[in-house]
Amino acid sequence: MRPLARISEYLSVALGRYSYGMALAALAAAAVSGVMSLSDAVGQMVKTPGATPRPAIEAGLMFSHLAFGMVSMSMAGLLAGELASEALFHLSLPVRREEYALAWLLTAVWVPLVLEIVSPAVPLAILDPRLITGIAVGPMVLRAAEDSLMFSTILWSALLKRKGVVTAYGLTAVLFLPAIVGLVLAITGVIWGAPPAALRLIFYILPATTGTMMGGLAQVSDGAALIVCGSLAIVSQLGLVFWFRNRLEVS
Amino acid sequence: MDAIEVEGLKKRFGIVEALREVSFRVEHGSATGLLGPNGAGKTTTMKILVGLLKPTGGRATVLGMDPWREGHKVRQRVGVLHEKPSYPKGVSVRRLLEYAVRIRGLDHTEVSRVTRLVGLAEVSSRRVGALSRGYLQRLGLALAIIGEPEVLLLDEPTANLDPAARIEILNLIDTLKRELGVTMLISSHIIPELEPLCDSAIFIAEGRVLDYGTLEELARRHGTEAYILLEAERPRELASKLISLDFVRSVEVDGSLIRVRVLPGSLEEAEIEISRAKGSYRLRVLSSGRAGLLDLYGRVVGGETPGENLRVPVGGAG
Repeated sequence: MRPLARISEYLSVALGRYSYGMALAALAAAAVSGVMSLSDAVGQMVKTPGATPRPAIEAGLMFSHLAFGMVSMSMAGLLAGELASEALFHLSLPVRREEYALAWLLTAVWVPLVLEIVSPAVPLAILDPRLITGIAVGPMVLRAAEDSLMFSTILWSALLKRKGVVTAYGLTAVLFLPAIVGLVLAITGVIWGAPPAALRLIFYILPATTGTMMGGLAQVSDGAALIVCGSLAIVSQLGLVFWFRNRLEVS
Repeated sequence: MDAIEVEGLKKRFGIVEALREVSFRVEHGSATGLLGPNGAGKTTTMKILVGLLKPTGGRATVLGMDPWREGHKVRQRVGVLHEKPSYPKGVSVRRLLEYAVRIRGLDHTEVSRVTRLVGLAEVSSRRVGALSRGYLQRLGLALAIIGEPEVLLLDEPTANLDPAARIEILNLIDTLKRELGVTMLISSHIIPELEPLCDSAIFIAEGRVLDYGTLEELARRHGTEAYILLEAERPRELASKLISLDFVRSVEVDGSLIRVRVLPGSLEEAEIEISRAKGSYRLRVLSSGRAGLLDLYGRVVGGETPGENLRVPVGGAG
């Protein structure tokens, strides 16, 4: 059996009973974030009839980020639970540990990420395919890089085999971090006028969140932020595969 | 090359040394008991052999492969039943078996074969979460024998089962041994259970292998042997004849009773020899037998002998 077929077979058993819930959550999140970008596009159409609307999807993306961040956290929580029990059964079958890692990266990082990025745009395409051409790609790419890193760190927390740890970390990263970052940036802005150098690292690690909050004030080029954040995400995910292959023990 | 070769195996969990220096070999086609008290390192050894734990030191090979580096290849040819298995509870027995069959790249007819072999047919549509412990253990065995593995690793196959379920599972293992002829490594701390199943044993305690080999080798090394208890006329004359035989180690006379101790493996030869003297001495064989695993365990591991009161008949019950 080929590795991809093994991964698919494994996921169908490991996640079978959660698949309907996941599909419903994805549909609901996609609908809400789609409506948010749609209302912006329709607003532009009303204000300037005839002109090609350039829908701003940052708000839709932010909501989508929160929704699929929760999905990613839930999936990582499932891995934490499985590592403490059923992994013994699955990994006693002829499955490679790196295939097991890829299955969970797919479930907790890549699928939520793709749905998160695509969902605000789908309703626009359904309404009028030309609206898609008006979407600015930059915010979507930055959001993809940032969440690729964030979701993979949530998956790392599952290696502690405790759902509580995953939930605490996941909620902090997805829900509270944007608020904390906003607060810190606001305070430093008031005190020093601009964030100190050490804090500027946040612009590279959370380019989409800080970009949405501060707009052009972030004073960091999108390209540089994308390279740093994207590289960290790749290192984090390759690290996970490497860790599963060389260190994952099931007792 | 033996089916399983373990050399100087060590495993540490933090400050706890689960395995200190474990070395043994398991021959192809043998049924070997891995015997020791709780916490001896039996489960850790099993998990290393199937590639679930990484050894801290030493070397282990299963069918010539390193279980940690080539785990998926080892698991393709090795079936394992864990002491405390946990299966996805929401799926049916049949779906779980189909999954394991597909992962091994086998045809779906294999599901019917193993279901029939372990007696799961009547519960195949039931959810795994609704199975009794006995059926869960049967499911574990079914999963272990999918694809007719060359090696079966059974970790405490009767743990936490009631006596009836225990007898059923032991009979099942006995059937598998006879019908499939696979190499088996069976761990247990209930020694008498394994007596009818095993032809070799590995004694382990506190993370160290104390001794291993075939039951005859072990009996020879540790001074346990087979015996025949006779009643005869002119016992002293008969005793002097018997002691001259090569395979007789000692003869004790007590009135008309004679206790003959023979080398392990020579019991049948001794019985034939004794039956020849039947007419001359009007002798009667009162009992005969081999030193059992339990005696060996007592001599090798020492201390309290576990499961002394748990003699389970294998082959009798259905």
